[in-house]
Amino acid sequence: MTRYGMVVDLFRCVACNTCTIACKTKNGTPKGVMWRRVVQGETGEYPQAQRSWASIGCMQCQNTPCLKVCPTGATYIRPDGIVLVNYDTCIGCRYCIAACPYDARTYLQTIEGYFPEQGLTSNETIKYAAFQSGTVTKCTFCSDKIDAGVKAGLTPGVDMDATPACVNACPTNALIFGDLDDPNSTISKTVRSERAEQLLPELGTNPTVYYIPPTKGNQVEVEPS
Amino acid sequence: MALESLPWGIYIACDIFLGGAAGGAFVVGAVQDLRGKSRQVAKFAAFVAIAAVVFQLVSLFLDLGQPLRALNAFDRPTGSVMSFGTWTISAFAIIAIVYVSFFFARFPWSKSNGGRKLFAVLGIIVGFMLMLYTGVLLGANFARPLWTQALLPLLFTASGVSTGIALVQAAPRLMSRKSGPDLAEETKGLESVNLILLGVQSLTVILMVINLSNSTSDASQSISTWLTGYLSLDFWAGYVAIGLAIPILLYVGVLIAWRNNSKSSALGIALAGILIPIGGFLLRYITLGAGLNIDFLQSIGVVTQTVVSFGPTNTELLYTAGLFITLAIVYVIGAFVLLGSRSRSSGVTTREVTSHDSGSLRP
Repeated sequence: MTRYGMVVDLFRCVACNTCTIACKTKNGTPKGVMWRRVVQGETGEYPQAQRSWASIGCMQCQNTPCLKVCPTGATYIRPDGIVLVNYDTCIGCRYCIAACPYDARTYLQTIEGYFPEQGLTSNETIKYAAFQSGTVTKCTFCSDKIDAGVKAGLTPGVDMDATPACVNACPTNALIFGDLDDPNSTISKTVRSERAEQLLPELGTNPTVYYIPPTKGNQVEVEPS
Repeated sequence: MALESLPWGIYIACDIFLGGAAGGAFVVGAVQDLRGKSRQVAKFAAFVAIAAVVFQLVSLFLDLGQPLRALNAFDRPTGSVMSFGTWTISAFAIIAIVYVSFFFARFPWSKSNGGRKLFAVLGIIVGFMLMLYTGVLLGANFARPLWTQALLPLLFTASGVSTGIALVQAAPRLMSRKSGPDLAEETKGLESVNLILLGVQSLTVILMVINLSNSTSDASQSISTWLTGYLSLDFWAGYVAIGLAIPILLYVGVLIAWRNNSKSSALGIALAGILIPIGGFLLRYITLGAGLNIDFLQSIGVVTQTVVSFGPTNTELLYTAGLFITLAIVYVIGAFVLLGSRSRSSGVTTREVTSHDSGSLRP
């Protein structure tokens, strides 16, 4: 079996938003939709003030809350673990947005261009054809790219032509993609060696996206003398 | 971190409020019917329920991003609570319409008492399902601490029946008459039931506030939007004062001080009939507004800023105002047609409506 997953190494992530832009370039999501994005915040007070950030997107849960609440079956999960939305059957009730614990879904009320004064640009016209207003969208793990790549005999996570755009673009290699069911894949080894965590494991959603906490380097190992 | 914008707004607040009102009104009327009370009150209650459920469907429909595909929710049933809900709402609407048809002599089955009572019982069951559904719908979103409170469906059901009583009692009480069955007499006792329901609601809200305040930081954050946050005005002035405290005082006044003054008690009940639905609507609205997501990045040491935008747009406000005005007009017309004039099927002798029943009727 194949189960595609991702590791987000927040120790390496520098919040540069290259993943955000790579996703928008590859998938051409309309204005206001960001399947992958970097959230930021501050914590503590001077002199202990800190910035923190994380690159987030769909967690591709294997026990999928959004799928369970969908009244039309528009949300579905593929055998390889990728959760997708069929825009043709989605009625835009937004129940899935309410159910998602990870803020991964976006309601596309109207399709607008980024330059309203000149209408849609030629790139927008081509890319937006894949979307429908009044439906809910989410990260697809670039499933079209994976499918094409696998068909051509490539390995997702190894060959760039079969790997999600955000992973290819990350300048610090903070994003790792691959098959979680293959114990020898880079991602499986990373999850094991770095003790990568799922988010909100107590909810039992079993995401295939794992996180390496940003505090990894702060843990000082005390050698016994 | 909370959502940048909450998924549901005022259309869904209208939807789940009207679901509660429809279920509540039908249950109250049908129970009165089964108890052998005035059939005119039961007919009026079922009419109110049908009006509410029709506008519930309209609100639901308008909320959808792709309303023309609404049938997908019927022909592609899934295990979703919403699939269950679409069937419940439809079944309820059909049962209520069939039930009302028993009151009109032109239908050949109108003589059948057993049939009418069967549909009354069916409607009570589905009515309760409808009221509970509006709470269970929110509860299925298990990452939202306020919505997953087990007491929420009960609170919504108590509020639904309370709204039902308020609506079913107001018009007959104002239109009480001396000849024929005394409609005021027929709906007597409901104010005590409603007083209990308002007490149950107050207790439930207090328990929920205590529960959530002493829970995780996400839960206390979501309840603080009610107590001190951006929904505090709607909560304190709207739900607590208009929806609970003033109606409780009015009912206490009706039961104790104005017992022998039919005019004061009728006005008190009519006023409660306006305030309780407003409070019920605001309860749904603030519940939707406080449904914050839990902080999913906290466990790995990432703290992000809370950004929430929740509030009606001008179109939504216009729709809500229009909805309530339309419902008020439908309610007043229904009250005059069904309660004020001579009814064909029941053959009740009626007299002209008294002067104080105009204008003050609003759901």
